[in-house]
Amino acid sequence: MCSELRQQAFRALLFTFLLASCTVKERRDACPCRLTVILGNVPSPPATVLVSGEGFRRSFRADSLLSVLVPRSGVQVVALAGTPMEGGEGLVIPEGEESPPLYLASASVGTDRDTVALALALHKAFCRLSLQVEGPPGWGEPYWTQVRGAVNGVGWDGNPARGPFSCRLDPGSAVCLPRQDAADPLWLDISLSDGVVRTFSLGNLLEAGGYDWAAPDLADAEVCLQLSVTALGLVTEGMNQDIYLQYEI
Amino acid sequence: MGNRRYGVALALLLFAAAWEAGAQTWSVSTNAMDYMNYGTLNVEGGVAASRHWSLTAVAKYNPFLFQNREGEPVSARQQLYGAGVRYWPWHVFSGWWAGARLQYQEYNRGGIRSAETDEGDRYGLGLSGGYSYMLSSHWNLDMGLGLWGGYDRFVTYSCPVCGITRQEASRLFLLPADVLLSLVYVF
Repeated sequence: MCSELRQQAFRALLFTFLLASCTVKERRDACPCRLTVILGNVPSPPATVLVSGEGFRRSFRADSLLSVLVPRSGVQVVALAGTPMEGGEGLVIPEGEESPPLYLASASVGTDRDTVALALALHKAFCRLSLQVEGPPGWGEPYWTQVRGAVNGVGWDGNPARGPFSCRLDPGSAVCLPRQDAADPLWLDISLSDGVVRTFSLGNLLEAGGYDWAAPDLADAEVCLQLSVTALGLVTEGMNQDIYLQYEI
Repeated sequence: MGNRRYGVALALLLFAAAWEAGAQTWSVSTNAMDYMNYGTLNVEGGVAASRHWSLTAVAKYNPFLFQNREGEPVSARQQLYGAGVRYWPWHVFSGWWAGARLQYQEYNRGGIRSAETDEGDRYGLGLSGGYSYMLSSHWNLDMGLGLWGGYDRFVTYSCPVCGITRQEASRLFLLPADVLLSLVYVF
């Protein structure tokens, strides 16, 4: 009897000691991190702030300061200004419309702490492209021009979103183009009433003129199409270059 | 965690060796005062090593998370393991005694006076004394008081669950220990 009790008591004691493998500390690695985003250079408040991470994707509106709880696994923060936006899948420019005058900043943030502060200064993320067309004597046939491309917005990660982009660009006017990579195609179509008669690789022309799509703040550009001498004049900020083409209408 | 396991294993081995080495008298007890400390489960074993000396091993465990009237969490969680000796001037498990014990405690205490919560690990030496009153041939009532001091490595958070880390540091400590009102069974 005494021996049995003794054995059971010993087992109970042993079991209690084995509890040493269980911690009584709170598991805080699943706790959220408080992320404070300080926005700078917001041209037209409020800005839209997209925050995405592992199992987390939300959009917020903020003038200059945003405080939000996010997962500790790290997040991507994108701040956009210049256009109202209602969540969804980043910013998508409808086909046929130009880009809004978009100011943008993005950053990846490690959030493995209790609090993280992030300062984001927004940069100009659109190119205002002006078009001038000078026709030959007697030129008067109705025509119209449009810009086409393969970037139609901004994704949740702040990078250019791929999709069909097109908008009409009348001579003497200007349109806004979204930021894109230098390798993304961009075309300028000239159309008569019976369809497109000529397509220029606008992307190549801009690249040849030294346009930098990777600049923090995108410059504006002007394209002058001189049909009489089959030449294109390309003017961007701080640069003026004529590019001659073998071209006939 | 690794050091703690080694310490616990060593204490267990020493205790078991003495126990199995032919000790004639041994005891097991539980302390009512610990149950009053947010329901801390506890057990202490004793083995007589001679007429005046006994070896002791203690374990306490409190995994409970409570809520106060406002619904905020309250934590007095801990696990404590210790091993030591007691000196009995008259005879083991009877009368006055004085004890010393090496002790480890992992603790998580907060939300009691304020939301601020300390979590940490304490290592130290405890000294205590008391009196064991014989209720019957097998049952004793053990009363005692003690202190323990040592090294504490801790983190302070703004609340028991999640919250902001306020401090992460280490310090020396001296705290009350072994406020005993134990029921002891002597085999």
